[in-house]
Amino acid sequence: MASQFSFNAASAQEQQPIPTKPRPQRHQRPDYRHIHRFPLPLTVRPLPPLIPHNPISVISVLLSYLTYFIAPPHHAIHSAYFDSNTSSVHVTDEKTIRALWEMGFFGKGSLSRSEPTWIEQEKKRRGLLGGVTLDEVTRQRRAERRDLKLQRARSEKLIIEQRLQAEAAAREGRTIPDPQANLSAARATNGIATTAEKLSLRKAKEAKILEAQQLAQRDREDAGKTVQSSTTEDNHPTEPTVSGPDIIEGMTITNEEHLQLSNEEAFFLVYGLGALHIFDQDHQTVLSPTFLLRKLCHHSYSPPRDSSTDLKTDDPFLVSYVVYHHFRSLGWVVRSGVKFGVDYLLYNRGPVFSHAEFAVVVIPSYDHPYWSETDERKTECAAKQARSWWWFHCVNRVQGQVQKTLVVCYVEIPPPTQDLGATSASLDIGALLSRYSVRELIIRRWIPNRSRD
Amino acid sequence: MNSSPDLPIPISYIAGNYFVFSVDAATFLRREHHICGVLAGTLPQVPQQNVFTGLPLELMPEEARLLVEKGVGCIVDEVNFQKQGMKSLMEEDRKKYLKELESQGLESKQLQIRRKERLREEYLKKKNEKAAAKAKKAEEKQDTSAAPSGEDSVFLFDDRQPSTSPSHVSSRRSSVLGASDAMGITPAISHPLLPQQPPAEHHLPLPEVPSSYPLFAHLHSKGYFLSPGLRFGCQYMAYPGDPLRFHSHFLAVAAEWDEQLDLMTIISGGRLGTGVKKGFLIGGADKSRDDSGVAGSNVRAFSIEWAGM
Amino acid sequence: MADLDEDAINNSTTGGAHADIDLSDETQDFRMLNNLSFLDTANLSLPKRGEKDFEPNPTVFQADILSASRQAMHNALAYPRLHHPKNLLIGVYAPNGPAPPAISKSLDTVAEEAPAEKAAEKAAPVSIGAQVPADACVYVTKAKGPFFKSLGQADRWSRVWLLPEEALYLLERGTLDIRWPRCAVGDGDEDDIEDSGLPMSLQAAYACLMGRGGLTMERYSVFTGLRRLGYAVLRAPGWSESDEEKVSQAAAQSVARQGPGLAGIFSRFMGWLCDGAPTTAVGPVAGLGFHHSYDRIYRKLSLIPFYDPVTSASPSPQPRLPYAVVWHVYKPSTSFRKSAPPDPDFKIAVINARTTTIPTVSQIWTLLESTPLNPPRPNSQLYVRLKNGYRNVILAVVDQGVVSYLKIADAAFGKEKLYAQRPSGGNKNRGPPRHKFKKR
Repeated sequence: MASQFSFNAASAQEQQPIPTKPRPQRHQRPDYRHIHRFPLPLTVRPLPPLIPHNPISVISVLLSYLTYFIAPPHHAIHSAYFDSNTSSVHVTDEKTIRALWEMGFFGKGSLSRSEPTWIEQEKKRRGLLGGVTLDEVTRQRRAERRDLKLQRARSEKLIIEQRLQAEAAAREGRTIPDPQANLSAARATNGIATTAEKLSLRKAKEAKILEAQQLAQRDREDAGKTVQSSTTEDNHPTEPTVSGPDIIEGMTITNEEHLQLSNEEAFFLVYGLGALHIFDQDHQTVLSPTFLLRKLCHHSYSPPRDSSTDLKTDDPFLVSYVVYHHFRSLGWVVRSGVKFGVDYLLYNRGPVFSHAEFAVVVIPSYDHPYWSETDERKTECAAKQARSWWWFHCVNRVQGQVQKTLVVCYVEIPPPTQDLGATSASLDIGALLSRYSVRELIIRRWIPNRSRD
Repeated sequence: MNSSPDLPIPISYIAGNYFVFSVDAATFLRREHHICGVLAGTLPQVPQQNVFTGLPLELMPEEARLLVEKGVGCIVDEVNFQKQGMKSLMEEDRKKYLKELESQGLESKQLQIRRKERLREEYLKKKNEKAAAKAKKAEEKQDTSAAPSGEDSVFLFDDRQPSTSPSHVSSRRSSVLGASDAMGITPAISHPLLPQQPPAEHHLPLPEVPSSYPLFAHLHSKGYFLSPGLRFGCQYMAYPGDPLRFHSHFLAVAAEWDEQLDLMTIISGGRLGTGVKKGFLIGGADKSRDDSGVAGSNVRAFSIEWAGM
Repeated sequence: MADLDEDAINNSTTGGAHADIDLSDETQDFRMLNNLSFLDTANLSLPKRGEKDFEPNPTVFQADILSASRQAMHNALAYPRLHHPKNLLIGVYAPNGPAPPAISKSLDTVAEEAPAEKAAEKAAPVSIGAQVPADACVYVTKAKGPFFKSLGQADRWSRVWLLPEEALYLLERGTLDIRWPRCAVGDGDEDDIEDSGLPMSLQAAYACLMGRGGLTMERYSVFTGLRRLGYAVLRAPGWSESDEEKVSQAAAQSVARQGPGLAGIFSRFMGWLCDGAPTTAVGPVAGLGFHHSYDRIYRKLSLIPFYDPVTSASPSPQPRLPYAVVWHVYKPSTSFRKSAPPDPDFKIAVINARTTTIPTVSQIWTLLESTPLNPPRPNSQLYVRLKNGYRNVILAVVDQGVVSYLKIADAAFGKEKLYAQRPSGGNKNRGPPRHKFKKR
């Protein structure tokens, strides 16, 4: 636990806006390489090396097989449950939450932006722990930005008002001291730039920093007189007893956070890795992979389709799962890209190690002759894969803003087969998945002005 | 610049596109009707760049349609008008036109010579002054850094004409110019060789517009200046005033009233807008409401901002 | 920490966003036209933008600035296209395409010039010079100047024939004066293309040349935009598609799939031997038994076939418009001979943003397969390899005169097994391990 707290604080330091010049004591950065040393929630036992002409090595290999046979290693299968009302999969067991997050970065805290850290944030909020949480930093940063904007708007308004007065005065032949003179000394005065120059955001920021420094100075002076720490001031006024270092154990707080798995993640953990059991809502029955697949397909529509509906090869879940499985099987950590308006983000090793370099948009493709057999089918499929150019540029621009590379992943949709029918008992998931195929395009803006050499 | 051309302004329809070739019309449309179009041509005075472009002005079909609906413009089948207009020219008109061009060419030649002489004098004067100043205070070097940039900008416009003869040659020559000295002129528009208002037989019906037209008309009626937005990831950029002077406020996208919108579209749009400090705007016409014949009057628009909670 | 991604946004306002600033994106203040350094963006790491206001206000001050900007714009647009008599470059419009000059007409065979065979002559311009394209429609008798290094083709009578885009561009930039031919102004025969002496206006030139021989405004916008930056731009073979190429493409539907490959199948078999539970039918794909290595798990997970740009040798049908390369583009630095143009630096397909949607798989891959294989260098960094792709092409998407360029490459993520990469040393590297000997 302790390592997690310090990790949070450390990254909070990282996030802080530039102004804090004298860095306060730096928290130890957690050893991510150790915490996330397993890329998947499966344990691996390397075989002893087999050297054919060395009988001892053969024996040792056989022996290890024998050991595993007689006493199979305990295989940790985690559990989660499917909630039909929200069409989503949840994990409530603390250990499972940690395991799925640490080994492969599966899921998202239901009350956090990413890693489930609600409990720590809540403790900090109640003053039980030192330091600031990431979300607090973000909130503070946003508040600051808003203040700056307001400040700038006010000064711009002031400039305009003064100018209007000056102009009115000029019309009436009065003279008024040049409004510019007492506004900002930094105003540019050369011909073209003599516009209602904005008090730049930067300048406003600088002023703000200065102000903050003065405040901090005063705070430090105050601190000499008062013993009360600034964190306790933030305490909930209705809970005066919580303040003070005695109750730091914080047993009164129960963790109300779940780990929510995306349906693709859940199915991958079940079908791909066998590391998860997903229970039905009653928490009694484990859903078989086939049953789960059908369920998730039906729930990929809004509202969910009736369970008696046949599967379609282009059910949104199947299409997005194919892409998820594809990139996971190559070793990428695949997470939702909804924040950036894309389907997936691809991380190398995981979000704690680096930014996602690639942002993936999934587009179904209906190139198989089956889809153009009838005119009706043709039109329908054309509509399903059509995307407007402005949307495409919009997504590409967003990725440019956050310095990611856009990847378009086309999924070739196979024609339907018998075993997709709702009544069919035999559905070979592997065979189904291998009938799809994927192709990726990398999209970048090309600027002719910068390509001349 | 503040002249008002005769209405309706002919809008040339050529190979599926709408163009305005007259500079007066282009300035007028911008100033009085908030129609900017896209300058698609090359500026002859600075042809090697894309930041500033010149005539013709390419209008979106939406812009052309709006102008026709307002009675400010009319669509002309330019290809046929040119073909037939040229064929039916009278010998006399041609001669008159050529004569006119020649006198204009002579005028510009004289103008050019005078300007060059003046520039040369100025240049020499400056040079002498500089030399004197240099001789006086050899250690003061800062003036050399300021002077050349001013000269560059002057020469940019006056010396860019294709000209092999250096200025001193022409200045030495007598100021009497013959017809062979006239500058050749490539006119921008065909008027006065062809009539300014093409006859009705060359007029075309209302331009066909995309389904986003009601939103375009709506935003335009609210005083916004609109331009194609593809590069920025939207259909129209909406400016609160002339884009020459103002940054855009909205990235606008049109939707059908009961069209199912993909949430991801809204996310990326909101994100894009907020990232460049603009609003992402979606709007469409509610066809159940009466539009009382005015395009865009039954449109509702929504602005989306990425709150990032 | 997932907020690392969020923070990139804030950083970008100060850092990376500059790479995206293109002055031609937005209307700039025409008063800046006087400012040479403003235009010289190539040498500036950080282009300056004209100052703009957020919104209109009632000050006279603002109104005056706007009015000055508009005046500057008006003046710039009103600037005349003048030609010094000493080096006046004259072209003549030939409405019916390349034809021999009038003098040679009487000398040449009579049969060839029969009016009925006009069409045939157009299709086979051999009679005037093999290099002259049939779409050419303006000829220059005394061609001189640097432009003809990359524009036009000479005929037997050393007249240089220009394609419509070349002629229009030269007229637009004030380099060429195009004259109406005698036939177009009611003089002479129907095929008399001698100079009538009447200059063509910009307006008339657009009316005559735009839309000719497949020249759309979208294609022209790309052509001039690149020419203005100094690129040489030539028509590519995909310019027009002949009828036989339009033969139904549906027949050529052999989706080349690249599964896990032989090695993959073998390893899956081995996995089956070791783990005893091979079942991909209901999973788990990774197997139920114990696992010996993560690599092995990943190999077993490899179920989804992916497209391999190298091995899939499909019959590669002809690209169909608009997803076909129509412009070959050469950097200003590329040594270029128009009689034998080298391989282009860039290949560009021109797309109308309003009439098309983003390409389908068959459209984009037919287009990509018409370009040469340009595989990533095997010793480069993983991200560089992925971004390089195996083939690439540039799409110029045009929205009413505004061109947006996209570089498209096929990435083949499936060929790069990330799990097999050496784990990176540092915590915060943006990419996988860099090669030590990067600087050479």
